[in-house]
Amino acid sequence: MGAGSKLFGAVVAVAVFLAVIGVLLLLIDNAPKRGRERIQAFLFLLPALIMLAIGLVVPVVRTTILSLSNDAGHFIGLGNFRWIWQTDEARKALGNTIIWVAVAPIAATVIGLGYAVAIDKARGEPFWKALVFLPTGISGVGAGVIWSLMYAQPLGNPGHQRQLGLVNQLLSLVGLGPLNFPISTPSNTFLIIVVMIWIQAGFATVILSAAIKGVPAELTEAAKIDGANAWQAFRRVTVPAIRPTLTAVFVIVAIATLKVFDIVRTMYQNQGSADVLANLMFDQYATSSPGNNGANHSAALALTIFILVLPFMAYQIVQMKRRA
Amino acid sequence: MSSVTVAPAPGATGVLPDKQVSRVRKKLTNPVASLVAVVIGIIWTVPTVGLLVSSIRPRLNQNLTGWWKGLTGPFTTDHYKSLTTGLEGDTSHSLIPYLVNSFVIVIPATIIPITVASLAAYGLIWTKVRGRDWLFIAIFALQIVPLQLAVIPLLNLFTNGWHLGSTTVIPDFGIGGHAAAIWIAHSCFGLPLIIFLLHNFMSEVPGDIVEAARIDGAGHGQIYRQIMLPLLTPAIAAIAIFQFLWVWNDLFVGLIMGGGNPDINPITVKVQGLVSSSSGGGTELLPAAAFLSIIIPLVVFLALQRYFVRGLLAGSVKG
Repeated sequence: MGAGSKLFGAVVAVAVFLAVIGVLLLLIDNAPKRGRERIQAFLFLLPALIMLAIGLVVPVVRTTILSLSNDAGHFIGLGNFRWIWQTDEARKALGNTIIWVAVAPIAATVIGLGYAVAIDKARGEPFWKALVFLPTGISGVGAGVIWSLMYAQPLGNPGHQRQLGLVNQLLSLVGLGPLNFPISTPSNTFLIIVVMIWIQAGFATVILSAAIKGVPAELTEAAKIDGANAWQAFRRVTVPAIRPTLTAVFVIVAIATLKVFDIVRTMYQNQGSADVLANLMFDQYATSSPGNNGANHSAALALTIFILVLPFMAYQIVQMKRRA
Repeated sequence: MSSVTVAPAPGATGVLPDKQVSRVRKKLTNPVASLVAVVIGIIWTVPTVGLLVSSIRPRLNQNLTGWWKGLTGPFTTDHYKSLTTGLEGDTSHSLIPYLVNSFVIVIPATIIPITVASLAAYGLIWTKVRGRDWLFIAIFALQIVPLQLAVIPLLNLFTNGWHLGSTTVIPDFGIGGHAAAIWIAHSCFGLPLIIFLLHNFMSEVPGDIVEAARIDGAGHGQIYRQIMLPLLTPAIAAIAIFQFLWVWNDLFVGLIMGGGNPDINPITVKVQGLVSSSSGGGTELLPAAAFLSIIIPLVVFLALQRYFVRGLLAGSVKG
């Protein structure tokens, strides 16, 4: 298909969609007098309800059923979850995902907070903010290529003095060996986590910077007049004042971390067991064939991600309630 | 980068400028703050600069030395030629079709969910029916469903329909392997968050305006079109940027729904494929390919950062 006709197809699809919405609005305008409000409410919500049912509710039910069955369609209870626990690669992926979520959200939040404070009211603050915010707009694939270059080593001569990747070059300057990325474990997991932190810290900076600016200046000033130094004022006044935002940022990054796929897919080439749940979930799906229960294992891995997300969500809701 | 001197951060923690005591303390904190700012600023910028420099270095130089040795040249545009218009008549490496695919995906996948969500948010806020709060909470809760849980069954639905025993509950849509599958997937997955954000923005519109319009005889359809949509334009712009970036940068949905079909694969899928297939050779194109894949979202991102930030703040701070 030519580029023109494909783009034309997309535009036509949008036009058809908008026409359908137009008809819907016509129906809303001409709803019968009897029970008008209810009919209109129903019509406003109808497209969203259909899409949520087809795109989310039904698939979640199907994945749950899949995760509790084998590929012959028989119910096998928690067999697929037992598979996760008993298979080396799956257990490794679960362990790595837990390492990810223990490191990345805290690091991104702390770096974002530190940077937001450091540049707060500085000359050229928008510029400094933009520098760190930029990676937020870069795809996991793009970031993966960028950082693979940072970790690169000369082919066939990995320990050479003259390194190809900047990180390895800097390490060799201080007498430390090359990283041997991505073969060497467990450093490979942490080196990929760096990329996640690199993407998410800018998001944390922007949100936390807005929150810091919302803290009344009188509060920190009063603390200083009372004899607190800058660190104490920050620790005792600013941080408690922005705690709800800190929690929100932490939870958002944590949930994104549990689902991380693109960075790992790009950087980890099935070497040295740096796998995570979402990537293994994809591999199990992609290599599924009759008899190997791949689709069922994949469903169980997806459900595991969901189960890991739940406590973070619960924590966030509890925090929100406490505020309200 | 190294020639840039950082402005000291006066009052980095909100000190009174004219107090003698605080001026002394400022001297203590500012070097630390400046150092933190410079170090983080450099770490967050240099890798992308490295990609750009690598992308214009000849293959031989790429393989021999690190990119920082190539800051003074030699440079070449061959990689970019090869990836766009073709090099010496060879257009087999062109990424243009995949960039087109990304646009084909991102346009409907941005417009559809925002339109549907704006209708839903209106219904949830301004129509007076029972159960709407409950429904809003249910939609809000759907945000926690990870993509991983939904994409594959949705693909099966598109290709096979859904049957319970021998009864067809939902027929197959016949769009497996078509870009429409990716549009619908992104639209559905984006809905809970977009409804939530638009609900936040729309509930800030004063009820008096709607009430006045109703007294003047305006119906819900009119109020939606003539009051809500114009008032919400900035919010919609913010959310559109958000969704655009999300869809453009997505790999997971594209990989599963695209199923390796070059006719619908977005640029992210193509570049990721280049990474896994280029361990043998062809690595010289990779930096340029990655740069081409990130440049469009980055331009959008930088140009419209202000709106984007507004959307982010509405989503995470209020929520």
